[in-house]
Amino acid sequence: MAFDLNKGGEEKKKFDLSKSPDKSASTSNLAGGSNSGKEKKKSLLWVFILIGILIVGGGIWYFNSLSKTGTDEMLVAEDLITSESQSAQAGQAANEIADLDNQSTQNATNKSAELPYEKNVLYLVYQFPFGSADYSQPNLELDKLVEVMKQNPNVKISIDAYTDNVGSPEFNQILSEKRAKAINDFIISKGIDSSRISHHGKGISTKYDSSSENRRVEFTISD
Amino acid sequence: MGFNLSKGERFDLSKAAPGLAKVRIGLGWNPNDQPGGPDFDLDVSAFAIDESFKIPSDSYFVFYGQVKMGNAIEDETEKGLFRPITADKSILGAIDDPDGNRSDGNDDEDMIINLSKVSPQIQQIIMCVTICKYPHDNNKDKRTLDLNFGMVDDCYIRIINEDSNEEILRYQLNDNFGTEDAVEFGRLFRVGGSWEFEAMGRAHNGSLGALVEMYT
Repeated sequence: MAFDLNKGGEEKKKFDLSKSPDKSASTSNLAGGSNSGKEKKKSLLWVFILIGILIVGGGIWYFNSLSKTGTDEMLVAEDLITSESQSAQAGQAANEIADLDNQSTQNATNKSAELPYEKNVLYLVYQFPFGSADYSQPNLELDKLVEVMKQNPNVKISIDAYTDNVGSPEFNQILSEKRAKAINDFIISKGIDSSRISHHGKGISTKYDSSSENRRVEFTISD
Repeated sequence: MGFNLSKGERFDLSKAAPGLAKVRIGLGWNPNDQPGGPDFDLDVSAFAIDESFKIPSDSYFVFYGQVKMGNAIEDETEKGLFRPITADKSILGAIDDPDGNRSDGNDDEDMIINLSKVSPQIQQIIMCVTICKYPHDNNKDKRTLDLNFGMVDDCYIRIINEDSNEEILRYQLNDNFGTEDAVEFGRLFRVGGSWEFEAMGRAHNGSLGALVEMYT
């Protein structure tokens, strides 16, 4: 489709989108005839300088590596201490999660817990990296949502995913749909019935100034 | 006064005004004309696009040039002036106002959309304002090439119920687009059987040509 974007009397049948720069791009001639001798001398000088730097640098590296051996042993010992304390912390965290699971199972068997979400309010659950629709990093908000849905079997949600405004609208629409589906699939993988979730890709969002905030997934409690 | 929207916010027109059929889209701006400087000529255009994010045929790019192409209708009140019109007769585009004299005190340019008439294949109507630049401008003034939306204040878009003349919503653009010369102010899009509006404020370089490239 060609459109004439011109105003006024002059009519052109075809709209020319190409830009014609005023000056052609200049390229410097590196193989200039009269300067070639000087250039050769210069490059030889640079080669000698480079070799000199390499020799000095190599010497410094050799003496450093000799004095470092002792320090390395100390570092290994420190690493061992750190990893031991980390594994202790991990064990504690695992116990806490197990306690939480037990609590939620008990709650589910007793009665529905109080809902921490209101209807018709948008809740942010996740922000995707640029161009990505992979949900990989654990996310507390989403874990909390799954727990709440387990405790409240009647709760249904609607998921909306967005993109930033880089790229064409059609590309971003597809990307947002993939993002919505990724979150939907994650929740289902945690044991929530698919009939309780609807998901939609909403395409480009410009709600926030920063692109990362626009690459978001929100949910609302639906009827 | 209607609802004031912020950038990125969406508004369900059908819920706010049940039975709404005909809307007027008013757009305004206030360029900082410099004495002796190039004339600012801002144009309103709309792209009515289908599921593939492209216009389905030429008339769905609603801009001043459609008058020359024959896709136009005489304005009901301002006789002798013509508005571009889409093939489904649903969108009446803006009357071109190169010197801004037509619009003193009102919206700078406006469009009229009959939502109930919009062809089912149209999924979105994107409303844009662009700075007309050399070589497309009336005066063929190369200085227009340096103009951008950073030199334009008080940009807004509002939607008015054409039957009751009540303003439904308004979006005031607060960004300072210091290099860009084309801005998608907002878009109407279908959600099931109803229409929603999104305050976009999405800016581009390349004036109207950049948008033509994207949506045609």
